[in-house]
Amino acid sequence: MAFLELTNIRKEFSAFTAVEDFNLKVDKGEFVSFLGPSGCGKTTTLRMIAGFEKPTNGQITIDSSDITSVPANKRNIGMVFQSYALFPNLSVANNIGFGLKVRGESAAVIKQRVSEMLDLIRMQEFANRFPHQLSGGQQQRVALARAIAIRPQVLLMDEPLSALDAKIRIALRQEIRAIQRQLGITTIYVTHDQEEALSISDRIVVMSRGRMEQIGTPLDIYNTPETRFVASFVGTLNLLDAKVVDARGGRIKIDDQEIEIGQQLLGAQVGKGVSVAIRPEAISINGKSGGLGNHLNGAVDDVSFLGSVVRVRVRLETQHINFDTFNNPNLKPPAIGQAVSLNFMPEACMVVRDE
Amino acid sequence: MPKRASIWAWFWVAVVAIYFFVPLYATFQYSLQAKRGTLGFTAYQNVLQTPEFAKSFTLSLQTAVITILVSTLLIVPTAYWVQLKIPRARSLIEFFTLLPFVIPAVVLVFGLIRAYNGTGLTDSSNGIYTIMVGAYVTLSFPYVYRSVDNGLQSIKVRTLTEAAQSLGAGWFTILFKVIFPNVFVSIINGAFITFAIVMGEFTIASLLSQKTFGPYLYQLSSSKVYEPSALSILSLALTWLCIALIQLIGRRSGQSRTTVF
Repeated sequence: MAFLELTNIRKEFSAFTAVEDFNLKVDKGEFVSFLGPSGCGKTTTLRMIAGFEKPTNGQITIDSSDITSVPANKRNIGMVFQSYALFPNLSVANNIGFGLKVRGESAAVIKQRVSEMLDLIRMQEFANRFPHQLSGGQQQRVALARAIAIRPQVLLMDEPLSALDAKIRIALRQEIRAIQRQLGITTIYVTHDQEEALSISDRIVVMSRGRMEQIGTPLDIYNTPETRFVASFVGTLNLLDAKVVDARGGRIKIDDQEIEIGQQLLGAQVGKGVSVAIRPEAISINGKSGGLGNHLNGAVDDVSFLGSVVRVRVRLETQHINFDTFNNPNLKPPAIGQAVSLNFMPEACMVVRDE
Repeated sequence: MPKRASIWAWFWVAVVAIYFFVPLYATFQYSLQAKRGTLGFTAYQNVLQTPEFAKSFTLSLQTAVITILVSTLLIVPTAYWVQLKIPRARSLIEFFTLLPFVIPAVVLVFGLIRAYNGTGLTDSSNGIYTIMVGAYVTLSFPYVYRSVDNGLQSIKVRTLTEAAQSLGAGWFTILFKVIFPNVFVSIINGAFITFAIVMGEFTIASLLSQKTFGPYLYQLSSSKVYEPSALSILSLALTWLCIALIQLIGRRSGQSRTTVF
């Protein structure tokens, strides 16, 4: 039995359907991320779990009890907001203790719990500071401590790291994950940052236009995207238009160059158009992977230096394909215009649905 | 070129200062001439020693405090609710806030008397006093609402409300533990302006036969020579004191904090 369950959730705002056909089961202690672009319905779904929005249809249960119509302040759900939402008039300690005070806990209990939380976020010396005296990262740690101080059944996080700079974002997401694991708290995390979702989650729900596109572990989502949207949204990907040459033998044609895709295309007719996805890191040039597998010939169109990785854009006849190679200070990257042969294994090709 | 511009700027500042301070100085100097041939505070002593002064001043003070309390308790939750639940209605409410500027006080008073005639409010002195406080709450509406609305816009009302809700807080706790403390300076701003208005208000109090500070000042001017000027200066000093207090509290707001436990 799932701990948190969303069944047939639908949310309409006048004529606009923000979320539809949303079904999700989350186990106790699981960390699930909702990933998708702006306006895909991920925050609306989170707000329905929090009780800030009422579903038009559907049911939300926590630990088998129906909370669909329970007011937000009676749900025992902790929430961390993108903009921290710390109470400006309260010190760090008072912010963390706010929920406990509302619950009528004694001063001694609140003091002890606040101290535990300050230890957890390693901010004991900041107890008497006010939010405006803290950095963004510190404020978000306090917001996290405040949300978990009340021992919520579920912790919701709405793009908590979006307002922070890159370095702090990475450090804090590791900290969030460590705290979540330590406390075993069931967590729903909303983000539009695919790297964040991949690095932090037990499972990811990829959403688009109010619908769930795919749900799976980060590895599943990254390595076997089911739809063209998931393939293009998660990670950098080459999406190529191809035509079926031999469905049973798994052979397709990209710009008149025939390749194998390592799987049968059951039901596909010869000449039918399909979308094939290949990760840039799965490709090498000039037969570096031993000459096995597929070869596509083209010319280098662009070379981008990304630090540890060099991304090379190769022009085929009508389409482009990117591939990544590690930066080697002793080797020069390919020159623009240079003719290259791209080499990749058939298993690296993913045939994706168009929707 | 900048030097010439600066000279002109100072010239206009001087013109405005003269326009403002000369009549004020003249009134002040006139109020000091109660004793023939010497300058002194006799007029001020006369005013402060009159029992009517203390009575009317206390009544106005009491009215101002009640007006501030009522308008704060009425307008802060209204402004909060409008921002949170019906933000589209803000422009409509802002239009309403202009009405007290447009409707003359005489019209307001006769409107109130007609509206409440026969309800019992118009039959007793307490009832009439209540109508006066109601009229003052209406007069304070633009100042308090706009001040509080600006304060609410400077904080993230929705997010703070939702954060408090997720922590288990109900509407009462949210309003008094989260919203009020965070718009305190705005409330104080509105309150002091209300205070200054109520302390000097004449038309409504006079039409409702209430012996507040405004009518007393008028009555004094018809029977005394120097004392009305002294009283005007005192009244002005009171208003300036209010403004100084707004500034002081505004500056200290950074340090004014609430304790939860």
